[in-house]
Amino acid sequence: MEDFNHFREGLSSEEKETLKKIYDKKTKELKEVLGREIVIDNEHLELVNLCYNLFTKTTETNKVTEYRVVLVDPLYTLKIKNFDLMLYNEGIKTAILIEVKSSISERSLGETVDETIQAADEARSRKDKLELFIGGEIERIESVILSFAYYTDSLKDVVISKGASLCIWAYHFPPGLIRMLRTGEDVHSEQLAGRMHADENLRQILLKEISTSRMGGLRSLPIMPTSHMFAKLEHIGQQLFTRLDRQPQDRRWFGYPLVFNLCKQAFSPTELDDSQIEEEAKKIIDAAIEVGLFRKINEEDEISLMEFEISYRRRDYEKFKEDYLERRAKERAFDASVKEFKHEKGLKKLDEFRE
Amino acid sequence: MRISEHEYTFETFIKELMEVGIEPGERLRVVSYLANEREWKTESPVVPSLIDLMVANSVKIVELGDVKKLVAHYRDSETNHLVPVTYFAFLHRDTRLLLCFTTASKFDVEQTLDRIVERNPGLYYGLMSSSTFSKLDKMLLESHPGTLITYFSARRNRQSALRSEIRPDYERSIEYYGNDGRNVLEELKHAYGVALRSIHFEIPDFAVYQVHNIGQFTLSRGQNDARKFLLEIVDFAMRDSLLMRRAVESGDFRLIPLETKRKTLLFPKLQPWLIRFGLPLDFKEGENLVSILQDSGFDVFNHVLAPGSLRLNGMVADRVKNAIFTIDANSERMVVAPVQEVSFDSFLRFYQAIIENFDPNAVCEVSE
Repeated sequence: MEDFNHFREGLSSEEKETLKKIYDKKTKELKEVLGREIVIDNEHLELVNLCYNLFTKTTETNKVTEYRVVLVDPLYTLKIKNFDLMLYNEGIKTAILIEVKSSISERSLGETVDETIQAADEARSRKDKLELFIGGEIERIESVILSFAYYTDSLKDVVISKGASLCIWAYHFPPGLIRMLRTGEDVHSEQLAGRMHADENLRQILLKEISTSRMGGLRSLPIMPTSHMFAKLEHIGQQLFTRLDRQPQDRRWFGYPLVFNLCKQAFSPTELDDSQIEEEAKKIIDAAIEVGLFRKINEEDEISLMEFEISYRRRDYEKFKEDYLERRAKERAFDASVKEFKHEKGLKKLDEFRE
Repeated sequence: MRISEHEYTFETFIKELMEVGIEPGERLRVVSYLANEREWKTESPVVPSLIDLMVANSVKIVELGDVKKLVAHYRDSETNHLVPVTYFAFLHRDTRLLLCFTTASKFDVEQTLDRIVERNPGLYYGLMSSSTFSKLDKMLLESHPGTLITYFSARRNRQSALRSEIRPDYERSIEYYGNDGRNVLEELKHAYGVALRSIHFEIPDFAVYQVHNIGQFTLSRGQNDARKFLLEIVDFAMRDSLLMRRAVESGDFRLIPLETKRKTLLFPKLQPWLIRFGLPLDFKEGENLVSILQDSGFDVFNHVLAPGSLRLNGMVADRVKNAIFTIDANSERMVVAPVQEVSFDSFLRFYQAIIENFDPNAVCEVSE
């Protein structure tokens, strides 16, 4: 913003007017982009939960396949950003890493496959860590991309053409079922290539179908460490309202420990330890202050000593989304509009302009 | 109504109630609520006990054995005086049904006990759906073949999914008086797509009973023998209400631990309950449902509402009862599950918002 203002000051009034128009246009565009990011993130949570709900311990699918969810965001603490769930079959010591994609553009198909393969390789090289995380021995790691059925056919072509070791699970809705794609006629060679599961029982079940209709996308996991910050703020905000509304009007303030506990609860099926959860909680608090969701009510500078209240009245909370989009879009629009302005003016660098 | 103050069992109290003198102009009313707990005094971690709830709301309690006399108050906005409202309350241990007997007006009830129910966890209306009304009507016609419907009130929300042949986009409220109420109700239901709120059943030469969908039953005309039948009506209608509570209480949430050397991971496992819609819904109706829920005090958040065949899932926060839960809906059904401790009343309030404003034929069930 400072750069933007500085840049703006050096312009003539006519140019300022042009910049303002570009800025307003960019803000509008970026708001839509951000809105779309949030939709994709919610659909991501839907697909993750869909799969989680199938493979939680004691479910029908868990019983027939003998796979269960053992980690959420399994590689997050290893600083590998891919994969959302890890399933594990203790009997045959096989782990399955699942990467959920709620949106894949045609042109990023190759990149998606490459990244997933690379992350799976990294995961294999850190097998000892994963064994420690789940407290069990792993002999085999398979990887899966789960996505909506309308993306998976093109994904399949890319996986085959790249000879990638990836199984593809497609979510068909309606009617609400997950099915593994058949990547080739010869099951044995596909299995050796890592595009079909080695476990025949699981393979047969997935080639047929697993119905998701009993639980659908119920949010057993309301947020994950890798969720969009907006989803985290919404979740924490609503949790705080629910707890604080029970307090008398003059005591509806809270501190860092409550946010930490809410994060700890939300991230309980992950490998994050207390210090990592602390970091997450602090990031959420920083973001909440920045976007005007939390208001500081004491003078402390240290986050763990700060006390806050929620800046919104509960019945007006739906405005938060609009305000969040507006605020974040405006922030992103500063750089974007200066860039476009310069482009239009044929100027390449801010420094050149200053000279 | 002058109930003498001494120790009662439920049976002796009912005997007294059947015989007690009721002043002209007074009407015997049974207000039924569903409670979370079996006893008045409990140590539930989720909800306050009934005693604590009453005390916190300045309700005076007089112990009369199995029955409690409750004296609640509200301030009359015109005179600024405190108005006392008296109930004789019985909590049925097995069904957790709280029956409150009074001659207070509907307004008095709204200002006192209903307010407590609306604002606190652990207690809710003995809710009735349109199918409960139909069953009750059938029961009355069988037991008293000449029973008339002489009054009803019904409403339509502009965004209701209920089909309306005439101007479906209008919000409307209908009150009808006439001895052909049963026929008119059927006609108006289809023509104007309205959902029933209350009804008057007249059994000629015997009694008139007023039944409201939030579990209120009033004997508006009739002699002492009609009081006994009032209790039969309450008993009949509340069976459905108890089934609704059983359905929503089947929703469950627990954490499955996975012990490793480093930490104990906890995996949430949800058990949903289910709402089966009366008619298949499309995307537009899904949008309307979200909007109706919002208007009824439920925030739907971090959700997916996708065009095409209806796909709606995400989180819901009950702004009134302070609870958070999760939903997943397709065109046929919605599953609902707690993500932390939720007492049944928030779920019933949610179901009520749907049957009153969106789909009166939606049924709540235990999910298999």
